[in-house]
Amino acid sequence: MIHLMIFLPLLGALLLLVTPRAWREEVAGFVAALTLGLGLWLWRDGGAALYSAPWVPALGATYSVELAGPSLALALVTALMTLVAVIYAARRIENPGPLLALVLAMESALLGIFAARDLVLFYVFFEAALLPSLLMLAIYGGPGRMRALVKFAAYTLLGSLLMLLSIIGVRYYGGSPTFALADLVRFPVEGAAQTWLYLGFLAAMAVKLPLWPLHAWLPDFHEQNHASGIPDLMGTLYKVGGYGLFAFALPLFPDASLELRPVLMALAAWTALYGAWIAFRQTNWKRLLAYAGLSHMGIVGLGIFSLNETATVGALYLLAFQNVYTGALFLGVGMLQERIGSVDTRVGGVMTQAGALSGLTMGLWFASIAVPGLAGFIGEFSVLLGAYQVSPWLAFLAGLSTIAAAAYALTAFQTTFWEARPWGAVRVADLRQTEWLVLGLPLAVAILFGVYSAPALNLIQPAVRGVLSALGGT
Amino acid sequence: MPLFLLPLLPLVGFALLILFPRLFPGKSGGWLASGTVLASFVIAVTRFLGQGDEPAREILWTWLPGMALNANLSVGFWYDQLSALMALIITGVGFLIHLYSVSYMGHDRQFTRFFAFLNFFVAMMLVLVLADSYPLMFVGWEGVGVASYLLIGFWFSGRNSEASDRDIREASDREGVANSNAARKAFIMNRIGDLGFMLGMFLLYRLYGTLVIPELAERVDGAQVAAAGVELACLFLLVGAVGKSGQLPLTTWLPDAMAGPTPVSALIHAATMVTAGVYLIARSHFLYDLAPGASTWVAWVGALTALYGALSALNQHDIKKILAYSTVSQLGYMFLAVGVGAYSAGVFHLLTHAFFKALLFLSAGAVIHALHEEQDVRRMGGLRRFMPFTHLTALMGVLAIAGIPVWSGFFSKDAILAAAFAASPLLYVVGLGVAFLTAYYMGRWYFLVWRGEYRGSVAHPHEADGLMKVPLGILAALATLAGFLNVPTFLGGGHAFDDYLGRAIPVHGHEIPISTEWLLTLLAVAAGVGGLLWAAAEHRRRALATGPLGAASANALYLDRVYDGLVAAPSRALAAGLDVVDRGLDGALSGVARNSAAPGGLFSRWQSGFVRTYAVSMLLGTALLLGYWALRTIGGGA
Repeated sequence: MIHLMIFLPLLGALLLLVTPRAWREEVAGFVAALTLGLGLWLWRDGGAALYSAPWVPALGATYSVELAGPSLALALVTALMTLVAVIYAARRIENPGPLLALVLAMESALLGIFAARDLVLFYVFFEAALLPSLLMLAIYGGPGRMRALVKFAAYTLLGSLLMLLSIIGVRYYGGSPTFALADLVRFPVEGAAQTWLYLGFLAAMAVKLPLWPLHAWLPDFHEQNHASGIPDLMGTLYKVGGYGLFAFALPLFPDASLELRPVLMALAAWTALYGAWIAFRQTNWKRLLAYAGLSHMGIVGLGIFSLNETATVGALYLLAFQNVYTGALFLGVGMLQERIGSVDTRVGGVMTQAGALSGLTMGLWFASIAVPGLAGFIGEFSVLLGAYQVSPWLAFLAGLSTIAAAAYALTAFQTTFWEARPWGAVRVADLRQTEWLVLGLPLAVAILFGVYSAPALNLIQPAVRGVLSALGGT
Repeated sequence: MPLFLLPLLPLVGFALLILFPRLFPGKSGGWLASGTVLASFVIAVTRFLGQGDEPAREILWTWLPGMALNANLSVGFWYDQLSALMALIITGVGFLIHLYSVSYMGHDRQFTRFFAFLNFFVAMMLVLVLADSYPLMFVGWEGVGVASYLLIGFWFSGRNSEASDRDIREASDREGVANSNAARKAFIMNRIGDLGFMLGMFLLYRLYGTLVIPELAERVDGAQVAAAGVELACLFLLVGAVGKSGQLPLTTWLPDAMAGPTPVSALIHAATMVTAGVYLIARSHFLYDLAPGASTWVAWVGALTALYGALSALNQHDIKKILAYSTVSQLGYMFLAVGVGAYSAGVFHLLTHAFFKALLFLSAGAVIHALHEEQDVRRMGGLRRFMPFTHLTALMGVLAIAGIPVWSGFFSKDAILAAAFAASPLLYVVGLGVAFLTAYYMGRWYFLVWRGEYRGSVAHPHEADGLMKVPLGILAALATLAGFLNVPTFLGGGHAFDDYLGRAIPVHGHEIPISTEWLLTLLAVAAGVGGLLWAAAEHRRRALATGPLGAASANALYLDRVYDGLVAAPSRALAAGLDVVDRGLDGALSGVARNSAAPGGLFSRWQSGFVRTYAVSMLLGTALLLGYWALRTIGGGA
């Protein structure tokens, strides 16, 4: 079942290539819904246990997959948001076949990232997800897409290269028989080598987190992607750095994570504030969302690096659910762009004509700036509270981003949706048909998991306790 | 009846009204919203009547990771005398204001949306006062902030955004921008306070290992914690309280918040939400009792804000702005009271202030309605002839806030001044001076609006209709009589209110000889009467329109401009600077990346044609790598 869930979207993507044009939306939607259904079924059964089989014995690579705990939470969110993306693509894009295929292929790779329990397998999925996201940018991107594409690819591939070296190094210096996580943990690397290997691994994850100063690809990537926001949504899901650090770096490099904790926490706290502050200046919705996402990821990083239980739980909670509302906000920007032909934040008065679009966007923004009662708050508050126990000043620094977040979000919202519609401006139509679902469903999820968090906490908390107790930290 | 019904009913009202506005044609949405709040009020009364001495705690479901004693924090409600009282005020005054709004907002295009937000506000405010833990209180805390944001910005595009006349439309556009800015300013300044509140929670958790209020109250006694830690935590909480209650230095958003519809000003920015800071400190009394330093800070913040508000109110010309600065000033009194440990006096003033200030705002709303949105007091005057009923209710409010004996404000203000006297003579002098100024500016408000010649442009101002009269009448009665709930001993009273609240919050009695107390009372009455007489004398001389202090008062002591210069402008500049740097960083770092990724020789031939090749080669490389592994898999026979 777990294998089916991982590879079903890829099969669906291949199937789309031979499907008649008229049926492609339906097939893609069916595959995405089925994947989500499989995920929910797995969830009901308490997750999929570890499955391991040799894959490339000569290299020591195994095919080890498991969907439980935070992996399952992230996989479910991925499946949900892919379904939302497919629904929106079917409505928004003329002849969406290739885009749908890429979205589904990317879903497979992302699910693989979360399921992988073998470093080589993880690396393969990690790189595999890059292909569809590059292709989406290359095919559907804006006029400056090549520059953005090169930058994105250069950052990612450079990071990946260092990660690959680390992966090989971990097995070489530790002496593990395979690359499976379970084996690697039994043969830990000691001493200075661990720190260097951690840094190598960190390079890839910091690009993907992203962490200042390795974030420069992010604003361009989002600005240049297709105006519908669908590739941006998938790109948001691809920000798996926080997960990679939690699932692999903490168990494999316990001493190094403790040693580098102050530096990394400082970097993450700075990223949170820096992103929020720059977002205040942006007049392009997509760049603004990119920097807002950067700020959130700084908070995620702060939680993971702090090695505090509450903070780590919060970081994974935030990582999972920021996909929901940030992703939906990108699609909301897409809807705005479809109506007024611009992603500028100074349009004015949209709410006077499109109440539902504006209202749902506002709700999603409140989730994003961590208004309590919505999903963003549980993550952000837990991270800051936990980080405060480790380092009060850094928690304060990152906490300043909550003020900046209110400033950038409400300013951009006001100049776009509030105030008056300019003279003679085009009339804005309100939400139609499935668009309600595209924005409403994520908002409902954000409210549900902001009020009733137990289902997600039950997935995340035991795993965090397990990892951190093995670490012996606080 | 379970406590969760209290916030749930208005929340359901909100959900229905916001999701299905079409189901509620005409004024039915307003009636539904009023009905849910009335139902909550009935529940609050039932619970109040059946209340025992022991506080009740009702736990619902798990919510936040950790944060309670070795457990996950749960959503739970806590019902003691303080929350009972707050729930009664919120639902009672809230219901009256809902009722008033059905008439007041009757012609607004977004009538149903208004009541949805109003219901949302009541629900969040109830969560705030019923919460059994600080994080849950924070839900209500920011929830009312969101409601306040939505309602201040209710006319976000101006009230004539569909007008076809160009001049009207442009004026409306400007109004829209001003309203939106006011709403945003309120939210952001509140967020500054909220960060303080959050830091306070983080520190409390660090000190005591829990954020559940009853657990904390229990542990505070036994735990060995450095005094500096408690002091700091209390100061952090004070920052939060200052933000929400519009105290110095985070006060400037509250006068701007008058951009919202008048019932909103009455409910949110006078009677309930802005008193949340006072509630927070009273609720945390067990911490402040251990932190004398922080308590002194609370008292002085309150005293200075009371003075600041009173000075700023002296020369305002907007009928609502005078009341807004007056609210700032009265909230300062409450902070002063809880700062010197007189929690009961502070909460009692909260109660009476909720009555008389809501009354004054609603009376002002009736005037604004009658004069077709005119808000300048210089263009009013003599309205008592046109609106005798509203005039009478407004007069009750003025007498109450001026502290004239038997009206409610007299008793509550007197208790605060006595407590201030016992704590520090300097605080007392400030408090007494503010009482004098209060009586003056409220007298000025009264004479300019209701007495003298009619100076307006509307031919026949009309009296408020029946639906608006009911809340005005009830509130006028309460503003007049509520003081008898807490008649002090030396006046032969039973101080019932102190006894009731004392079961939840210990009342620290102060030792003042009865003769001194009589003297203090006489001084306070003299200040009130003196202020009113001063205003009356100025009225005779027809010199009231220009109040004392001139431009300094009219510009609220220039605080806004100071903040704009010191904080807002530099922040914007820094954001712009960082943006430029970030785009630059971009270039520098991707240069490095290219340098290390691409062979050095090729780097010198970098040009646009090459970019594409480079990208494609990377794609191909990755694809090849993947293909290699795939082949190995098949070949390896795994």
